[in-house]
Amino acid sequence: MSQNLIDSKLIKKLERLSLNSNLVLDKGFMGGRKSKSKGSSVEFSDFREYTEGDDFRKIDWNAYARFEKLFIKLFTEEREASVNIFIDTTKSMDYGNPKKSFIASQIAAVIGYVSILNMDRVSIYTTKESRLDYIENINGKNLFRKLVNYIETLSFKETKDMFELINKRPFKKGISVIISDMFTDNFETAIKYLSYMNQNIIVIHTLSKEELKPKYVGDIRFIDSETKEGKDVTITLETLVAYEKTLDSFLSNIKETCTKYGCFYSLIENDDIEEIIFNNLINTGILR
Amino acid sequence: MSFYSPLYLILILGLIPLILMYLLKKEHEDIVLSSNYLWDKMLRDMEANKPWQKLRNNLLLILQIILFTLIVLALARPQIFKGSINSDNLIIVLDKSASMKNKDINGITRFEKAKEEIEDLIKSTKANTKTTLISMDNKPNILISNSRDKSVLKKKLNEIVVNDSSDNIKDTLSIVKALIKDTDNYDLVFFTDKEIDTDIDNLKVNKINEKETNISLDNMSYSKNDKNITALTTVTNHSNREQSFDISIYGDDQILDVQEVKLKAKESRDIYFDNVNKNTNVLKAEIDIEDSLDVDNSRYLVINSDPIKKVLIVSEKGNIFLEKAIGINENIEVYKSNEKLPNDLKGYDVYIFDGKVPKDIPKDGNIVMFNPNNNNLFNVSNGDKNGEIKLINDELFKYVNLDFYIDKTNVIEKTNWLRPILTLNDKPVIAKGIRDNQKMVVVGFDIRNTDLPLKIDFPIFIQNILDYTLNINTQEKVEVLAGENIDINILPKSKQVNIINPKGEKQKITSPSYSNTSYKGVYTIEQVTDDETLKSYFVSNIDTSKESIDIKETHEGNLVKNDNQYKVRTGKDIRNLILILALIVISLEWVVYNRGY
Repeated sequence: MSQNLIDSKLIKKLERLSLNSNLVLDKGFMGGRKSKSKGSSVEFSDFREYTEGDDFRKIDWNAYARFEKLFIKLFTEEREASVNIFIDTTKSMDYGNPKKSFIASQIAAVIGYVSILNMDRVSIYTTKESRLDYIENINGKNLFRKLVNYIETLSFKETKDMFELINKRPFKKGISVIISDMFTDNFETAIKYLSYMNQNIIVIHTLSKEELKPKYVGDIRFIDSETKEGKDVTITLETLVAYEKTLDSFLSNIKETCTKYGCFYSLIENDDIEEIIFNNLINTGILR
Repeated sequence: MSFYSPLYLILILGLIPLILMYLLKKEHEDIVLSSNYLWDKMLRDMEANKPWQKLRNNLLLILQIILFTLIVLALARPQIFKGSINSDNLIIVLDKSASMKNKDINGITRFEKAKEEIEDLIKSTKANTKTTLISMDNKPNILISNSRDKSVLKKKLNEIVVNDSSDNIKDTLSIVKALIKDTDNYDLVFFTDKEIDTDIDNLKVNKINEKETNISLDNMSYSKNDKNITALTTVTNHSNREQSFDISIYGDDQILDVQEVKLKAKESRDIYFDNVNKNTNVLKAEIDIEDSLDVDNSRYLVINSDPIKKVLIVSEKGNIFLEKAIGINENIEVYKSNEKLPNDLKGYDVYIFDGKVPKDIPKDGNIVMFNPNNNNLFNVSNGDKNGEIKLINDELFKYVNLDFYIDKTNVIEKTNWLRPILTLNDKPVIAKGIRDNQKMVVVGFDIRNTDLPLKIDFPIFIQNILDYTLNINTQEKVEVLAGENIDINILPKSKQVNIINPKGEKQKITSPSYSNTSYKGVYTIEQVTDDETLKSYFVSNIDTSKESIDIKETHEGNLVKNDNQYKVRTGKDIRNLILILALIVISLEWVVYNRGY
């Protein structure tokens, strides 16, 4: 990739951000997120009477002075969340100026970095040769390099719809980020499945300007980059209007599905990653 | 709307490949898209709503279809406003009578106008229309029948020349009826200024006439007295305003008199010219005015030397043979006298002296003498009882057999102006000659002393004598209406008869019926005999009762009768209009192509 996915300047800005999620975890390794478990953290949760076997270091001596009973201070255990980033690596993403694939990679890197900072466990899922390909369990800043490498080596030329593959495997409770152009009819099924898998879902919809506002004229054969199928269309004012309508209903369909399953949704139209982060992702509450 | 060559419309089938080309082999610009997902969705939506969208969206194709159709239409040469001539057979009758010379249509004659319209009509007929062209004057003439060749039709049309005759609608209609007997699929168009009254269906009359300002000379006659002739002509003002003009009268091309005439609208008046010289052969009256029809502005009249010849037979005892032989001629009045004749005897065309010759031989008329005595002109003596009779070939003995017997005869002393015809021992028995413009025939014997009157040759002999002496060269009928037949009185002795028409063309005739009289004017009949050329005249005049009259006059009170009036609505060829439309469509297409609607 000619351009760096992410530079040091941006990384600095990302230090203070985290993925917004009200996810309450009950499993997993220690991390930076609240969990139902009590454990060793700085965050106070409750008191309980001391029983044998308890760590007497945790006795609240102030309480003992007041009530002459031994109480133990309970703290919330902070667990790591697993963040699953789904990058659509179909051929259709390899399109646009800048390419959607590049934007998607950048976003994936940003979200991955932010998650690692928050001591979350990051997994990236893509499709490769019609199968789900992934790099899992990246945590710790020192592994970030590995994640970026993985993202950088992604090739966007798959024809298999990623959304068909998502429900082929289970996911740990966590956060799912889907970066795709959503040119699929399996979107809702996949969301439904992820929702069932207790995922907090974030949908990042990347569309190029050519897709949002086509500027073609005359008789055109559109060749699908994935299927290589041609489609003859005569572009007139009327067809353009019809396209706009179709696009609108397509977008509102996706938004509707997202609302239904409580997903965050953001449509990415910009091509500058900083603008994407601060306008789209923060504004829609994906990052904070 | 109809088409001149509808066959070209088959080319409209060419639209099919055009449309197919659009549907099948459309040139598309290939554009690789991320995914056709949205376009597919869109097309599904659109096509579900409008299955014909594919074509409708194709403004270019629509324009090309229109363009193609227009070009095919232009090839088929559509014509609007036609409608009237739709059948396969077209019969055109063109009136070429005198009235068609009327110049009341913007300075051109009705005939020319009709020709123009016929040309347009022929031009606008369909390619498979069979056209028959008939010209009509006093007899109909089929010039070309069932022709599809427009150039030939045009040539034949241009060959038609208008003449001075009147027209014969009745005969024309019967010819036309014969032509259309077997078919209903015809159109019949008359180009005339006359009223056509018939029960033929599909008849269209194109009346070529406008306001006319015609003055006509309707007839001409004369009366003779001893000294001179009074000529009468009737002049009629057919126009709706008062007109004044001069009428001149010419005698043998010399102007004789001019009168000024002022006529009110529709007025008719007789004009007299006195003191016309008696010896005039042909009179011509002429109106000096510029009116719409000028052929009827002049009229001719032949002054006939009296058709009835007067023959005086002077005989003491009367001669029944002569009377009978002469009397068989209807145009000869025979007068007999046995009394003493007055000295100044005159007024007869031929004097026949049977026996005694008076002292003063009349100065007018010609003289025939039988058995004369000595007189101031010549002397006679007794002829021999027997001798050789010799005939010197002469017209007097034409068709006469010499087989007769002469009992007693005198012979005529030789006189230099008398030429012997029959001789007895070389002495003239019958002689003839001309003296002071007087023709004389002298027969030396009394016919009662021969058996000649008993022979069948006798009337012929007498007739020959009369032919010679009476100048029987009278054309009995001296006036025809233009186009009518005339019987020419051909003399038995004529070797050849020529007729010189008013244009100066000489034509030899072989039959006494002559019909080439369609030009008005003086016709000269030349009869060439052995020794002279005899001239007589007849004239051809316009039938003004038919030709000079405005139609409105003839059908006064009956003007509604115009239901079959037909105007040539020459198919207006809208080919150019269509080509212009095609050009507009081409430019539209260019705009559409460039703007990419």
